[in-house]
Amino acid sequence: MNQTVLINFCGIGIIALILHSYFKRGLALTLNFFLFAFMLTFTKGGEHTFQFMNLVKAEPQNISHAVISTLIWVLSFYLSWCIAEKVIERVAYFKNRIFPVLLFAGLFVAYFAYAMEVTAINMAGGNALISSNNDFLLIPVYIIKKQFYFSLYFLAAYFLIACSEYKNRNWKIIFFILPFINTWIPQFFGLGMAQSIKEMLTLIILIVFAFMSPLRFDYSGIKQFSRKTFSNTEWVNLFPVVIMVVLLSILFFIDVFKIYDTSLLVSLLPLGFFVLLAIKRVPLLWVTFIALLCLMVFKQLAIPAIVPVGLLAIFQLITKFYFIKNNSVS
Amino acid sequence: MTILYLSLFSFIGLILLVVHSYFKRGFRLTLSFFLFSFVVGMRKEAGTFLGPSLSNMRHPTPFIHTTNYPLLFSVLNTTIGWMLAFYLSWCIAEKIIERSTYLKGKIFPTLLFAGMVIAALSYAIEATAINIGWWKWVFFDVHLAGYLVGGVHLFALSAWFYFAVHFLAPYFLIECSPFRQASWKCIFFLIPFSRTCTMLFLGSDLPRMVHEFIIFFILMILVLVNPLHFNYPNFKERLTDRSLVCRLVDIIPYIVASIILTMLIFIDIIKIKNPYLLISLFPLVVLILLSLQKVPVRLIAFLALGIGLAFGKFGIAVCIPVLIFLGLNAFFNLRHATKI
Repeated sequence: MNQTVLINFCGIGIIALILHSYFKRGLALTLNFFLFAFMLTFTKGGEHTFQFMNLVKAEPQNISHAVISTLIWVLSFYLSWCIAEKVIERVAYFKNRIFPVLLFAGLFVAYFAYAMEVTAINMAGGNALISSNNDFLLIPVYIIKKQFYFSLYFLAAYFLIACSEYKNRNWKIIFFILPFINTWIPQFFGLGMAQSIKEMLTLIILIVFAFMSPLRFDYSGIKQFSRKTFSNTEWVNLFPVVIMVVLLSILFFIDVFKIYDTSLLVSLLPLGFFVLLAIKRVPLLWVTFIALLCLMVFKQLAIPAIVPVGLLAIFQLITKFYFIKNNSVS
Repeated sequence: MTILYLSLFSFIGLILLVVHSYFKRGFRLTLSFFLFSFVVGMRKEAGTFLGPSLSNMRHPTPFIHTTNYPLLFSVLNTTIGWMLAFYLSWCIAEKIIERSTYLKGKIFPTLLFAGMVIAALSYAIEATAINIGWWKWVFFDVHLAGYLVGGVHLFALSAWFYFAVHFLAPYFLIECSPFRQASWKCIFFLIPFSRTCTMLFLGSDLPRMVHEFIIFFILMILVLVNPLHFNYPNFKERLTDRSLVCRLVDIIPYIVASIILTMLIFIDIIKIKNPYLLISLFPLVVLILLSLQKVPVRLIAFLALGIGLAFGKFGIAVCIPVLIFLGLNAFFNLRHATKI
C-alpha cells in the first residue's frame, strides 16, 4: 500500500466533488473554490522556505509532495464545507448561517488531518519519532491545530467574498487579508506568543460569531446549473458522504491490515461522528448515545470525537430555547 | 542620508497617489489596487528578507540592507515602494498610450509601458541605492552590465519589470477589463501563480528565465494583435469641475515622480558626488516626457538621440522606450494603411 492509492483516491474524489459543486453550486462558485484552494495549497509547501524568491540557484521543491498535499487539502476543504453544511442543517435556527458552518468545517479539516496524519505517520514507521504530548490525541496537537486555522482562514475569506451578502460590495476583497494574517503573524512576530494570541483571538471571535452572527449564505445572483442538461442530479448529493465512507474504509483497512494496530482506529472516530451527524436520518440522540458510549470505552481519547456532537447539542438547545422564548412572547 | 528618507518620501508619495486614485478611479479600484499591491509586495518581500532566517538554504537573499533594520520595517518599506511604483507606472503608461490613436485605452500596450516605467524607475533607484549604500546585491549579473551606470545589473531591472507585469496583468484583466463581469475572471490569478510555481518547483535560474521569456513573448504578441480595452466599473465622480483642486489631483503622479527625481538628483550630486549617476535617471525622464501630451514626440526622440550620442553605450537604455513607442506607432499606422 503506497501513496499511489492515496493519490488515486484523492484524484477521483476531487473529480467527484467538482461535479457535486458544479451541479449544486454552479460554475462560478466551483471555479473560484477549486482554483483558489489549489493556488493556496500548492504553494504552501514552499511557504516556510521562501526558496522561490531566491534567485541564486535555489533548490527546487519536490513537486510530487506538493501534488499529494494539494490533493488532500483541496479534497478536505470541499468535503468540510459539504459535511458542515449538512450538520448545521439539523439545527433550524442556525441553518444556512456562515459562521457555524465555518466552525464545523474547521473542525472537520482538523479531524481529517488527524485521521490522515495518524495513519501516514505510522505507515511510514514514524511513530517512534513523533509521539503525542497529550492524553487526548495520538499525535501532537499542533499538527491538527495548524490545519484547523489554515482551513479556517481560507474558508472564511471564500465564504465572505463569494457566498455572503458582501459579494456585491465594492470592498469585499478586504477579506483577502484573512489568509495573509495567518501567514504574516508567525513570519514577523514569531511562532511563540504572537501566534498563540492570534489563534486564541481567532477562536474566540469564531465562537462568538458562530453563536451571535446572523450572516447567512447568499447565493442570489449566482448562475446555477441548468437542469435542462441533466434531468436528475439528485445522486450527486451523495458524493461527499460516499467519499467520506470510502476514505474511512481505506484508513480502516490500512490501520488494521497493514499497520496491524487497531488502537489507531480511535483517530477515525471524530470523522465517523461527523459522517453520522451529516446524515439527517440518524437522530442526534442516537449519535449522542454512541458518543457517550465511546467516551466510556476510550475515555479521554474519545473527547475530540464528541466535541462536534456536544457543539451541535448546544446549538440544538439554543434553538429550542429560542423557539420557547419566541412562542412565549407571541 | 539613510534609507529612512527614501521611506519617508515613498510614504508621502503613496498617500498622494491613493488620493489621486480615489478621485480619478473611484473607491473600488483604489481599494483593490492598493490592497492587492500591498499583499503581493508583502508576500514577495517577506520571501526576500525572511529567506535565510527561516530556511536552511545555502544561498543568501539576493540583496541585503547594509544597516540592520527591524524585519518588519525592511519589508514594509520595500512594500510601500512597490505600491508606489505600481501605481505610478500605471498612470504614466496610461498617459503615454493616450498619445497614440491606435494604442489609446488598450490594456496590453499599457502593461508593456507600465513595465518599462517600473524598469526605468528601478534603474534610477538602484543606481543611487547601491552607491549610497541603502542596500547591496549579493551577486552581480554581468550580462549587458556595461550598458548601465552605477554598478546596476540588468537582473535588477528585469526583476522589477516582470514583477510589475505579473501583478498588473491580472489586476487589469480582473478589475479593469470587460472580463470583470465574467464569473471565471479569477482564472487570471494563475498568471502570477505560474511564475511562483516555476521558481518553486523547477528552480529559479534557467526555468525562471524561460518563463520570463515566454511571458515577454506573449505580451509582445498581445500588444500587437489584441484589441482588449480598459473597461472600468462605474463610480461617482467627485471632482467634476475644472477647479484648482481638480487640476492638482490630475498632476499628482507628476508631483510624486518629481519628488522622486529631485531626491535622487540631490543624492547623486550632493551626497554621492557622482554626476554620472544622473544618466540612470534619463530613461525615466524620457518616459515622463512621453506621457506629457504637450511635448512633441519628435522632440523627445531628438533628445533621446542626443543623449545616445553624448553618452554612447550608456545612452542606449534611454533610446529603448522611445524606439518601442515609435515602432509600435509605425506598426499600427502601417496596419491601418494596409487595411484601407
